[in-house]
Amino acid sequence: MYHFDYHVELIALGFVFRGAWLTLEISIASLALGVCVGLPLGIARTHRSRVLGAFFDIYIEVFRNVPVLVQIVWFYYVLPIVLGVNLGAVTASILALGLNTSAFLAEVFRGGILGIPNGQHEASASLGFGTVQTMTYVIVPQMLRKMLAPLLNQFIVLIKESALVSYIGVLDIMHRGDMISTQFARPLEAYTAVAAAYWAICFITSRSAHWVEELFAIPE
Amino acid sequence: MRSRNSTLVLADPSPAEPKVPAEITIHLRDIRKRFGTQTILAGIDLTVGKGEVCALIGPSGSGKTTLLRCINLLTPIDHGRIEVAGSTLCHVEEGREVVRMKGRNLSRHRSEIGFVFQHFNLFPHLSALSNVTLPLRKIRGVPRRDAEAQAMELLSWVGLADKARSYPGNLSGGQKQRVAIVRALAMKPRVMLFDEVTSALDPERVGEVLDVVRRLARNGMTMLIVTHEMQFAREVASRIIFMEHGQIVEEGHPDQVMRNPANPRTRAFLRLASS
Ligand SMILES: Nc1ncnc2c1ncn2[C@@H]1O[C@H](COP(=O)(O)OP(=O)(O)OP(=O)(O)O)[C@@H](O)[C@H]1O
Ligand SMILES: [Mg+2]
Repeated sequence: MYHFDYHVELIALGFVFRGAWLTLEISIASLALGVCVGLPLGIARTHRSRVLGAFFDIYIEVFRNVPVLVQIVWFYYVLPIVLGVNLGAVTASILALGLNTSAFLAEVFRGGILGIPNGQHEASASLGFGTVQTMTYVIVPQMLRKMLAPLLNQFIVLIKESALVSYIGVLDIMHRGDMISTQFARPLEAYTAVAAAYWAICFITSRSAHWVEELFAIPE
Repeated sequence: MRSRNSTLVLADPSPAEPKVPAEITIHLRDIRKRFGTQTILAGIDLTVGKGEVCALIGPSGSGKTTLLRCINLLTPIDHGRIEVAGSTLCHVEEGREVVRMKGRNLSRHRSEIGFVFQHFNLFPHLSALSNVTLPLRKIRGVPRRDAEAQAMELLSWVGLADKARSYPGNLSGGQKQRVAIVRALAMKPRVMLFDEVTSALDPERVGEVLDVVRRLARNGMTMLIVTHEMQFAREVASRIIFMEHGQIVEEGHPDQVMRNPANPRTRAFLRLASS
């Protein structure tokens, strides 16, 4: 019989949770990058420009159809060769996860923008807003509030996917679990602690998501 | 450039004597529009003088909404010429575009044409107050405090001071439409275009909105009003324009058009509308 060592479990939990901040940092930064890149992509995709459209299709299809782990490795090992600059493991992780997220969010945003009634564009135009102002003050703020649920959902996906960055040596929750497991030769305690850490973060996030949504909801 | 009728809204002067339009605010010449093979506007000529209140009536599908939307280029025309306050917004001859205003220029002119929609089209993510101040601040560059003061003044004028912080989703139809009117009014437009602004309202809410339009008329606001409220049209308008099949069939003083229409089609329409 395997004897569950509570002492090791406590050590593991303590050690692993100290990676929580890094995991969150990477997830938050990736989400921010994803929104910043995904928003203009999504807006651009609502305009029917063939050239731009084809370019975005390629961008989105590439990020969608290549495993996230491969993308992370690619940004970490290959980009330095191509560009001649060394990216730190954390930076490479954020770039890979963030751009990957942007490809996903571009579609979400595009759908959200197309879902705003035409009357909003017309009212805005009739008041004298130009296209850019209409987007900035009228369409995008409404769209973002309506897309808050998928956005927060994507954040939770990111927290979980970020475990992959342990592969390139980032000292996140997962990587710390690996270390404990090796050091004590106790995988059960180590990975239980890892699971507990991810569960706790994601659980709290998804529970507060509801509250955040309500805070930003458009009053009906 | 002429001076803008800027402080017209708040003072309630005694009813003005019949106006003789000295200046032309809207001038439309031979406006034509088709959607696909269907002709919606078949050559509309219309002049609205400064301070005039024109009521546009006619059966459903006659092209009233389309005409209104053409004036501020929400709908592009196929032919004709649109002049507002002396500026040509659009001029198309035989498929050749002589002028078609775009970009900043168009936006600037649109901001001087108040448009009120049948379905309000308020910005749902902004409070009533912010719906009014946003265009003031971002288009006119009015500082926030001043914009809010102006907006509050206008909201009180339509009896909605206590609803300034409410969101459109929490307002009744009549309240929403009054906010929409104020939002357009705050830009100090040269002309207001109303497209059946009461037809999406509960019957008991119609009066409060018509009342606002009535007071605007009394204050000398230039208006082109599409409406199905015949009694209201007769009371408020200085001219009635009857449209059918994309053409102006008859126009004239309300008493003449309503009581004694020259055209048999006008007569038929009015009989139907009053029954
Ligand atoms: N965007 C469009 N595409 C195609 N047809 C249109 C479009 N907009 C309006 N129409 C058609 O143009 C005709 C005139 O419409 P319009 O809305 O101007 O009439 P209206 O006089 O305002 O009618 P109502 O009193 O019902 O509001 C209608 O037959 C309508 O179906
Ligand atoms: Mg209509």
